[in-house]
Amino acid sequence: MERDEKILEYIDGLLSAEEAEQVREKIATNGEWKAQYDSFLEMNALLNSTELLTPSSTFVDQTMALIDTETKAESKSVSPILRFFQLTGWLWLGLTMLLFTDFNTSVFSQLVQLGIADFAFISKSGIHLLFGNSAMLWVFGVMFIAYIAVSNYDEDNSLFKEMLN
Amino acid sequence: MMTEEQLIASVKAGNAHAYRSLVSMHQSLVFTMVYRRVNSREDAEEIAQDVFVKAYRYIASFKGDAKFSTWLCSIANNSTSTFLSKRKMVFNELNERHEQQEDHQILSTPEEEQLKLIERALLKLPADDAQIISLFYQGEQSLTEIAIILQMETNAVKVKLHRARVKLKTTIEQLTIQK
Repeated sequence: MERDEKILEYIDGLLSAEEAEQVREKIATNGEWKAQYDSFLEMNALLNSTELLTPSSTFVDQTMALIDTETKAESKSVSPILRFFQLTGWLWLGLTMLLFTDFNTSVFSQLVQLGIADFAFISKSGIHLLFGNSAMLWVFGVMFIAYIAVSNYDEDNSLFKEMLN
Repeated sequence: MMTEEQLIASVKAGNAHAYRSLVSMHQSLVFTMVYRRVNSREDAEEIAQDVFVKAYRYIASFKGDAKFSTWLCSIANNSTSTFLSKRKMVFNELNERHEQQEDHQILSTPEEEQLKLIERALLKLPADDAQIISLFYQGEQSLTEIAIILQMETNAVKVKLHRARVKLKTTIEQLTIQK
């Protein structure tokens, strides 16, 4: 109803000075307007005194824990390109160690002796071409492990920190 | 003690600890806004936490054109809508449950009785009406700010708020007669 709307706008202070004066006059002279005004005013006062609801006492801690988890997950995430190089690197290192460990005790040797696999199709020169000499490969291997450790370094919860403590 | 603006700037600069203060400052507002629509404390807490996580993730996009609380309420409104559309909650059943809980409570001082009466009346209102009333009175958001939050025209908010208040007044009167 227009009367209620005017009264509420008057209470909210949304009317122009002229309109506010008209409503003030109506309230002063008309019993129905006065009753409605008092009723809205009382409700307004009650609503203004109502406080916001409060969540549980652990709300802030739980929210911050969620944010912390998300931040850590983001910092640990590795780009697909880096992941590719990591995986191929590990594969390369693994193969190198298998191939250039003393052949008589290596896994390759065991597989050949058991008749499970035959690596005769891989020429020695081909292997050397792919993997270089064993001493160099161990150096590269150690460097690669160091690189992976640094790229996965987590400031707050690092393996390095645990080792140092 | 840092101001809200300083805290926001600090979070933007990468200080996650400053965000704790912002969560503390606005937790009740966001929780109340969500609760008014879902009528379940458990769900409201879960959604409100999600709101703060989202706000943290996108805080760089907050330019300060509106109040931070308005921005948060905006995210809260969208998150609640998504939640409700997934759950397709039946408000009436929930309202009845809450009313029953309220009835068992022992009323004490006249002031507390009045506040509980308002709370019961708000629970009886349609969720959208309860939310707009809470935003205006408890959340201290202006009509323009509510329009931003609810993605409505300011005039439409004005009309909606007016209707919600008239409904609330009628509900309070009915509850008073019932007592």
